[in-house]
Formats: sequence, C-alpha cells, structure tokens
Amino acid sequence: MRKTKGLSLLEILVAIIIVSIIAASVSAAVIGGYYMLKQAEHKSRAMSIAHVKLQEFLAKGYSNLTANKDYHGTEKVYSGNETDISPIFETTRDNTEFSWYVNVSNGSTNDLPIASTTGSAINIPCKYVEVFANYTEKNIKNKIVDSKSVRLFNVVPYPQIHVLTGQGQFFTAALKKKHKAPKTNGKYSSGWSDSDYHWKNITSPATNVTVFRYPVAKNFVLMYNLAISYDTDNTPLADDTVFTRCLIDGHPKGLVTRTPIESQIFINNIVEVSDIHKSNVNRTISIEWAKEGDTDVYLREFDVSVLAVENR
Amino acid sequence: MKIKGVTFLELLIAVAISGVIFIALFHLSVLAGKQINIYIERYNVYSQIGYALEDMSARCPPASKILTPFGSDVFNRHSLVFLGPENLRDIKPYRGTTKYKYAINTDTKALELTTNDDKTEVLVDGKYRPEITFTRKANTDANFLIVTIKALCSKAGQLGLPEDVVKAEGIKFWFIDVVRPD
Repeated sequence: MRKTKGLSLLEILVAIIIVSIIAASVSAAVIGGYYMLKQAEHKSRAMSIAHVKLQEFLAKGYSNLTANKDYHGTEKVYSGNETDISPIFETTRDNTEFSWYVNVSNGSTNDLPIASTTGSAINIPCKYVEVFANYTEKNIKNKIVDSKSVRLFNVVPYPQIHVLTGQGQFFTAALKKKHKAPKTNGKYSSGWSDSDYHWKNITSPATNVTVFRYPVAKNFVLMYNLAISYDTDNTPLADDTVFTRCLIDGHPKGLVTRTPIESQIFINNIVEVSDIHKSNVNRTISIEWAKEGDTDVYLREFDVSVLAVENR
Repeated sequence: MKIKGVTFLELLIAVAISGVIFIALFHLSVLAGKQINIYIERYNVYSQIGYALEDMSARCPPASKILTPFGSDVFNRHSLVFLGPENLRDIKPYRGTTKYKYAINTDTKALELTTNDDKTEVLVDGKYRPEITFTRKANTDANFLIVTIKALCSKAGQLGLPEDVVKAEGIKFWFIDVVRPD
C-alpha cells in the first residue's frame, strides 16, 4: 500500500511568509532607490548653487571682496536662495527649499594647510571665500527628516600687480583761479632750500584718486602728466620755468622737473619708488608745483598713474 | 488506504495568496527595471550637461570678443556667440579669432557647439530636449555670467520624479566684459 503525503497548510503558510519577506525587501529597495535618486538630485542642485556662487564671488577679485569696511574686519556674510541663480532654476524648483550663504573673511597664505608642507616664502594676504548651500530632505509625508549642507571653499590671493590712476580737470574760471601756480623765491639757483620753491599741492582737491593702502610691500613706478596754461596778456620770459615733484606721505621722491613755461605747456615725469612698505592706513601720493616769474600759470589738467608691483 | 493532502479550500487560499504575491513581485520587478532605466537616462543626461558646462568653462574665459548682441546689463540669452582662441593650450589675450557658438539646433533640438560656422559638436542630445540660458544678474561683475542647462528626463515622470534635470555654472571672462561686446 502506497502512502501519499501532500503539503500541510502550515508548510504553505511558511512558504508564503518567506515569499512575502522577499517581496517586502524588494519593495523596500525600490522605494529606497527612489529616495536615493531624489537625494542625488538634491545634492547635485546644491552643488550647482554653491559652484555658481563661488564662481561669482571669485570673479569679484580681491579688492571687491569686502570682508568688512574696516580692513581688520573678520567676516562678512552674504546670503540668498535659488532665485539668485537663474530663471531656469526658479522654474524647476520642487518642494525642497535651497538657500546659500557666503562667508568672506581675511586670511593669509601662511594660514593655509599647504604653507606647513611647502614653507611659505612670503606671507600674502588673501580673502577666504566659503560657500554653503543648505537644504532639507523630506520624507514621503513631506516632513523634514534631515538638514544637509554642501560647502565649497576657495582663496583669492592679493594680486601681484595693482594699477592706481587718478586725474583732475580745472577748465572753469573759478577752478582756474584756485589752481594757480605759486611763485618761487626769485630765479632758481643751485643752493635753494625746500622753502625757496613755495611748493603747492595740485592733487589735494582730488585726494580720493591719490590715496593707496596696500597690505603687502610694493615697488612703484609712478607717472604723472600736467597740462598748463598761462596768462597770455603777460607772457612769460623764455627762461621762466615750472617746477614739479612727487611726494609720498609728504616725502619727496625722484627728480624735480624744471620745464620752460612758454615752450612746453605739457609736463610729464616718471618716478620709481622702491619698497613702499605695507600699511593698513591710507597713504597719499601728491604732486606739487611752483613757477618762476610774474606770469600767472594755471593748471588745466593732471593725471597720475601708478604701477604697483609686489616687492619680493 | 489513508491519503493525506490539502483540501480544495486550502488550495484555493494558497493559490490566491501566492497569486497576489507573484503579481506584487512582477510589478516590483517592472518598477525596478524602470528605475534602472531612469538611473541610466539620468546618468546620461547629467554626463552630457556636465560635459557641456565643462566645455563652456574652458572655452569661454579666454574669449576675445562676444558677438551675441544684448542691450542691457541684465539679460537672459539662449545662445552665445564669441571669438576665442583656436587652441585652448595656446591663449593670446584679445587675439582669438575662432568663432564659437553655443545654441540649440532648431532642427535636431540638440545643444551644439558650432566652430567657425561649419564644424559642429553635439553637447546634449536632442532627445533630451535641452534648454540653455546665459544669465547676467545685476550687481555681479561685468565679466561674469551664469550658464544654466536644463534637459528632459522623460522616463522619470513614471516614478513621480521631476522630469527636469538642471545644472548651472558660473563663468568669468578673463579679458572682456560680457556687458560690453566691443
């Protein structure tokens, strides 16, 4: 007699439970994959925001990155959201909110990790730009489950070359009157002291264009041009001259020019100044002039250009 | 003879339950398959957008002149035409004369880079319906603009994911300002 045995209900139920567990884990993997995809999407978006903002701030350059109004200031924070990126960014927003903020702070190359390994030859001031893009992950019920942040960092070093320019124009009668050359103490002689010239500053009405403040030592090549006119009713003598000189912080630098008034109404000079020491306070460039003789001499225009190269 | 097996009712219950489970498994496997397809599509879209942005961030900065006309300092443009160096490893400031154009081809819908009006390179395939915007914002530096590329990942909608894939990049021009074409 053959004994035939089938499956009991218990065995079938056990099999069903096992299959259910497998199905549940597959569905969990599918749902997990969905959220992973969303998270990757959000991270990519945050990276885009951070990258755009970093590039935007790096493009400003050292001088326009304001850490604070005072040079000794430590940090300035700029902030915004996705609307600051581009119209496409705005139109593709989902229910995740992104915000960004940028810290700009003062630093120096000696503070950077690379300085300890390579040895920094010179301490160059720099601006640290640190960008954060923040967002919150939400679950299926739209509840915030996690706050996330992407951080990017870069350094804007102090530039090696700076150009400083300034000019002034004095065409009106009132300005002309104000910018008349002072008369020297008679005709020039080689034994003159400084007081014999009666120097007068021509750049003082436009001090904003001749002020500088460099946080590292510089070498200057300083060029200035003066266009002058004189009283045609009282023409100067052929040997009447105009004197000009350049000063930094009130100290004369380079040569004094001496130019005949009648034959040369355009005066220029180039002055090289080495080792302008670093400074955290404003320093001034000034041009002074004086003239011989009784003819009134007026300043029509001047310009000053400075090529400042880092002193190494 | 005693034969022990399942009753008809037990069999029916078992068939019903396993039927539900197999249907669920089938749907899950279809879903998983779709998810893989979406992963692949999104990867392709991201790669192509990333490649296009990388190309722009290498080619645009040494531009010597921007030929795309624009009237104000705040603008959005969908193409950029400029002159730049032929060889990106041999840059001479202001002297690049090779004409480059980033724009959507109206026929193929692809984002293309056209060089000197004849050589064309597809940066983002037309099937992804790419859109490109060059944005200049007020109060940003005159030599800076933002490029945003959006592409369509049509399969993502099947899973309730956003169909648009978007990436942006900031570009700083070295020698010229974008608000002053000349």
